[in-house]
Amino acid sequence: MVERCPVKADVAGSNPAARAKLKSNCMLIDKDLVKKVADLSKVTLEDSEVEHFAKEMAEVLSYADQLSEVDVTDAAPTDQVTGLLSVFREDLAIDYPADKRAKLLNTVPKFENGYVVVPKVI
Amino acid sequence: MSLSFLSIEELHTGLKARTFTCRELITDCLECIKEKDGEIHAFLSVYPEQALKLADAVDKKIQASEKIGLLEGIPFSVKDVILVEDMRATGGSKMLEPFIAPYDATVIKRLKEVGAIVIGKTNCDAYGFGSSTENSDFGVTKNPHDLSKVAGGSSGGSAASVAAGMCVFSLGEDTGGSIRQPSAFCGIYGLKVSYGRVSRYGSIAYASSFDSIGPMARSTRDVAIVLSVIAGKDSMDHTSIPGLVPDYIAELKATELKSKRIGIPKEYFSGLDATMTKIINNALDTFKKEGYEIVEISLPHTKYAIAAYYLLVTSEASSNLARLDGVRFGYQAPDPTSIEDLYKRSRSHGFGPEVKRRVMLGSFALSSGYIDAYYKRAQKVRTLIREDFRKAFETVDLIITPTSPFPAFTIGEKVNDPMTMYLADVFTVGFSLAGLPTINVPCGTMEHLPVGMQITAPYLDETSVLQAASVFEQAHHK
Amino acid sequence: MEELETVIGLEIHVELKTASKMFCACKNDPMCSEPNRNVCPTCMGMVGTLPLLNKRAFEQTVLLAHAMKSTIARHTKWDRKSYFYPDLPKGYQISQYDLPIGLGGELIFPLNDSLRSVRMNRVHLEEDAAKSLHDTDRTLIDFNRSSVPLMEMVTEPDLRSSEEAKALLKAIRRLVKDLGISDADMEKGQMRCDASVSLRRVGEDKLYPRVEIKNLNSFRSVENALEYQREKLRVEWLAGTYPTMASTVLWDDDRASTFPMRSKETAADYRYFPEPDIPVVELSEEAIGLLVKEIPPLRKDVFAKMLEDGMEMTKLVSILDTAELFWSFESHYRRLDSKLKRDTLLNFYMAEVSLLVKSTATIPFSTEEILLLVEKVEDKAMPISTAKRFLSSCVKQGDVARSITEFETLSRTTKMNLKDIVDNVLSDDSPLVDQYIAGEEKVFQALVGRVMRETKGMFGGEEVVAVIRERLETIN
Repeated sequence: MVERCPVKADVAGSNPAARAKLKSNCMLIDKDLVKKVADLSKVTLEDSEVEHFAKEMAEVLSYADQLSEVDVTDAAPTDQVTGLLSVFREDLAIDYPADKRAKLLNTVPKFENGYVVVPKVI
Repeated sequence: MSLSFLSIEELHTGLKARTFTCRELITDCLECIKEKDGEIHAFLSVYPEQALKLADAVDKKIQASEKIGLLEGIPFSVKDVILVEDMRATGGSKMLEPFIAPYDATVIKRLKEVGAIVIGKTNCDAYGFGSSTENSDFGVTKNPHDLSKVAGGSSGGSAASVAAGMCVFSLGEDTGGSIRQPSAFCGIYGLKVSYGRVSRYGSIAYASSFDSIGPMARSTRDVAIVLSVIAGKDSMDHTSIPGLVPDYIAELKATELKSKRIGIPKEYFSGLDATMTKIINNALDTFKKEGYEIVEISLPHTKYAIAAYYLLVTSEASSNLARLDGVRFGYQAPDPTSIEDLYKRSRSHGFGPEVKRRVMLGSFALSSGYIDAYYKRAQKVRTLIREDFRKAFETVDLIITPTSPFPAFTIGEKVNDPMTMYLADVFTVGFSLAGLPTINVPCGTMEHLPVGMQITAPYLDETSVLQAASVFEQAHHK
Repeated sequence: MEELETVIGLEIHVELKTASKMFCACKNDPMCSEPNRNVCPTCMGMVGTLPLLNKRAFEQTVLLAHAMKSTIARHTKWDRKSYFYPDLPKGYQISQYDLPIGLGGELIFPLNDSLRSVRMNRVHLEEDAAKSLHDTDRTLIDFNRSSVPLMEMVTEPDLRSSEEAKALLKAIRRLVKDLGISDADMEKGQMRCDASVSLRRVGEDKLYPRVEIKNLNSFRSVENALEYQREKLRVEWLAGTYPTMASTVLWDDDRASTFPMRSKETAADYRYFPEPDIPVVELSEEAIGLLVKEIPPLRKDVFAKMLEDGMEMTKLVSILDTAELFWSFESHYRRLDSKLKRDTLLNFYMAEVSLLVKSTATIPFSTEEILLLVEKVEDKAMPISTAKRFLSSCVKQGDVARSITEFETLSRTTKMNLKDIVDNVLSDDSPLVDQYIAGEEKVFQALVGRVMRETKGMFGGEEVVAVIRERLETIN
């Protein structure tokens, strides 16, 4: 099966500098950090998954660390590629059609007496 | 042969001439689906009654000798991240398993207005996160050319549905290669438009500054026909480009080619598989014969494209998926004990491992303390990559590269190693970072599997891309 | 113990009065009684939707920034502020982070008898969250308010007392009302305020960790909460245990005290990044120039001019907060050419007219009528008390004119002689006079009253008193 990829991928293995970087990233991405990020992202991970994710994330971030080689001094960040500026909508109120609104509210899992319902938030 | 393998224009002629009815056309599609999709699994939902009803209406018009439009009665499939009102829109994810779209995406609205008929919604990697459709929560889509291989991703279902003749064209969505790569794997034409050329309204957002909806079909002409309907500014999308849309179909017939110099980036060919190289070189020979000039160019920041791409798209995706919280639509975990519990259990059930991985990576790359090193730096590298292309286009009009380093791989081969999967996107992501119009053109086979090449032109120059694709297509079939 | 000074900064949110919401075309009506009436896929955070920037909301924020002398950004952009909460449908709020519409600026406003100045840190534009109603065991969400345009202003910590904070809020309310961009009614949630307070030794420059107070729903709450927290801090300082870390507390109106917020809610990483769905907005000098031409007369500027004319600050302040009262005053003020006339007019407005506006919400006299009154008083053709009486009793335009005409007719035809009338009253009321001479001072007022009635207000109170005393002397 063809596997060759012309882009040099310093993920692990041969390059000692890359291996060191991967190791340091693994230390950065420890279980506590993974749990913290999972909490921030509102997902739960089993304990077994935490270690697994930590390893994968470290690998991806190691790969991403290549970017530190690039001289970005003169580069402004790209937020968008269109080059569009100053796009506005006129301030006119348009009533969303009642039947479409009914469809929209119909997608709400818990909807009672006109309200979206969730467990009590303090 | 099934009517669904005819081109849009052939079908239009046939319908007008009453050689066959629209009902027969739709029925052929449905038969094909019935016969093959059990195995291929391109579709997540099919709507036969609706489609036949619309077909009957078209037939009625034809019988009354009323005029019908070019796309009227033509059946198409839609990637399940694009909303079609009253149809399911799972996005390939369990989180949206119960979800019925409450409105039409703009692209769907425009196609419905010209009478095209939605046959069903196609399978994809959840939210577009993947390059093989193996990350769909509803099973993989198999390659019609070899059922042991993937159809590609993330628009795998769309590509397979067109290649297998289950419909005439499909609407896919490309963020980093999701139209082009499955098109290459399945041997069809798939166009990633210039970012902003087609409205994103109604497409589940993956990476807001990359997502591009585009046509997938079996010929350049069909791609051009669909593009001319869906392209153009949309007031519901402030990132859509204003101004007149070129007449893509007319431009295809242009005798004088707009662009003649093709650049071949050396970075994309060093270390490339020998057979793949040969196929691409053959394709370039065809272009030479048609009067194009081939020039070697350099895109020096190519090796950083994947890293920049993945940092940026996961960041944007982690934010775009925050609205999938179980509160207002989609799956909600039963009997939540608190809002925190509702969020976590709903999302943990609804999101598969790849989705969780990307959401967490993205949150991390944006978090305080890391955002400068990851997200912001990636944005700057993006600028440098765009600059590479800008400079290249000073000397050439088009750029050609392979679409994928390899043809369709075996199901299960890469799915357990995310990094390897990410690296498969190496040829497609550069053009995504720059937002350039890029088409996949089938140009050969390798181990009996289709191989495709990418043709790119400067921003907003779909015309040159389509012209070049058309030239190759016609020369190839001589 | 060295003297301590209070350091206060405010973060103010103002709901803008546009026709539609910030990022979609739904009606901007947060007080709509039917829940989830003015909603669409976009403001409910449905998949596939994109934000559509409201032009008017943007322009209104530019107007405010200009009125506060902020530096208006040449390029401004929006950013996503991420956190999970059920009233936040997208899981992020579209706000502004590093390139807000306005930076810096200043507001000058009166407090008691002096002018204060507060520097502004920034002003930006964002969207509001939905409304949550808390039931016993669940929370109900209404998205009518979701994505309503919200302008945020942050002051520098230049305020030095809770009174000053309240005065600033009133000044902001006046300003946004004059600009026509918001009604800023705190009780309706149209203006909200978080207040931060810390103490330091007088003369110190540094800033100590602040206490941020949330849940302030009225001017009174702001003042009371700041007073409460300041006192609490003072006690801590005296004990030597002032805060070493910033903290956030919630104000409880009923219990008139603050309570600490759970730290989890206060330590948030919002992961700000540029909003990819909204193109950057570029503002040229000319564009700003065209916009600010729209700015109507502002109370703060007219007020400043009147101070320059020599008008008394505290008196002006008493009519400043009711827009129609003040503008009605201003419309007549500018036609007057003497200080005395202006002061008389202000006198009228502070009392009688203010009461009229309060009770009937109208100005039931015309420009000509009030200018005439002011003139008559200056010319001493009518006592001021009479003029005030005419104002109090008028109900519609023409009433004052009629009163003046009657008065003039009376003064022409009767040619009253005050001395004679006083003498008559004193002889009629001789029992009262005897009582007065016997020492009952308060009887004097009754005599004054009698004379005033007899003279039908043709003479001023002071004059009547003087003549009565004089005549009483002669009797004696």
